[in-house]
Amino acid sequence: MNIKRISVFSLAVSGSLFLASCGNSSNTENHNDMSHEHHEGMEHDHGSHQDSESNERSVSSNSGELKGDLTSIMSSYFSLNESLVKDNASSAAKSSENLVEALKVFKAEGLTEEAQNEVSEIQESAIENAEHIAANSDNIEHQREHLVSLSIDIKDLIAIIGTTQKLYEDYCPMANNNEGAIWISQTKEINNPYMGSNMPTCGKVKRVIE
Amino acid sequence: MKKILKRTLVGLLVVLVGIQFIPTDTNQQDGIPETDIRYVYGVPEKVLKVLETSCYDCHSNNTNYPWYSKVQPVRLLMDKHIRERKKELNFSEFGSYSERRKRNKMRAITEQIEKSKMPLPSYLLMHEEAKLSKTDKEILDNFFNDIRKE
Repeated sequence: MNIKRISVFSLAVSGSLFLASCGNSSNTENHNDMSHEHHEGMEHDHGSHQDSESNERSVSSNSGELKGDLTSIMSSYFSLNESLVKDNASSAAKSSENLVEALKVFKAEGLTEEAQNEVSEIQESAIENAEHIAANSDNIEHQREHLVSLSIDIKDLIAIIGTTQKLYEDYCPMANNNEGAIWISQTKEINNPYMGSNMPTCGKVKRVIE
Repeated sequence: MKKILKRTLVGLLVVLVGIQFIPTDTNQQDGIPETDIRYVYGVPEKVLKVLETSCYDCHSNNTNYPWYSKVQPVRLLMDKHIRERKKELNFSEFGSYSERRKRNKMRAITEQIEKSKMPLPSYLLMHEEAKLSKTDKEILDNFFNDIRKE
């Protein structure tokens, strides 16, 4: 009787191990669906946030035609940077989760085929970088490594899509193991996401994006 | 008491035998695909040798399986690890990456090597030959940095 029970149990265990090994992909899909719902909530939040900071926005409008709406992406990217400035890895991971979702739903409009391909490549690369930042809530050093590539993606995305907001491309020569790295900010003052509280003001504005 | 112990051991044995029948992945392919990094750049023989010895088991479509990979649950864990690592970086498919992704990967590779994060210590436990010497590191570092600067 008991032996029988044990064998049934053993079979169940091996069975579940087998299932665990095969069930990976469907799990991921479910997870994505859930985060997607979460994202829609986030976008909403962003609307009110934007209004409160409207004085930061540039009055002079972009002369080129906008090829899409980057507000949701930029809002998550800025809050990611703010978290890194404060050396807060877990909050950086959360912002980066939102960034992943914003990047996934972003659609550009009216682009040439070539530009559209480039945007798709940027999105793919930025999503990969943001996913790493989201997954490394206990490793701020690794988060900052991925911010180097992510910031280049964001910069290139803005160059194609355009922005109505006055933005700054900042540069710190000491970031990225002294190789130097850029990041995008919405204020002129330097708040360095790579150095954090060690050297929060290291760096300078390299370019104004309008 | 003795009876319980005996039954537990029998049960455990059944589990261990049972899981040996779980189907496995085999990460091996015939020939070298056109997208392999060696065809994307002129990869010098010495660079290729280091890559194959220290990286290809997890980061390519050809794993050199050790004897203990035939035993479960070792293989299950190994399969999962290889699937995940290949998604991250696969030298066999490097040519299919966008230029942007190639640059990202090369930046990450040099960083991981310089900081001695790769190969993983857990892998080196059973693969002493994969440990990167100072010369190996320099060989890889120079190679990837040169391409990045091109």
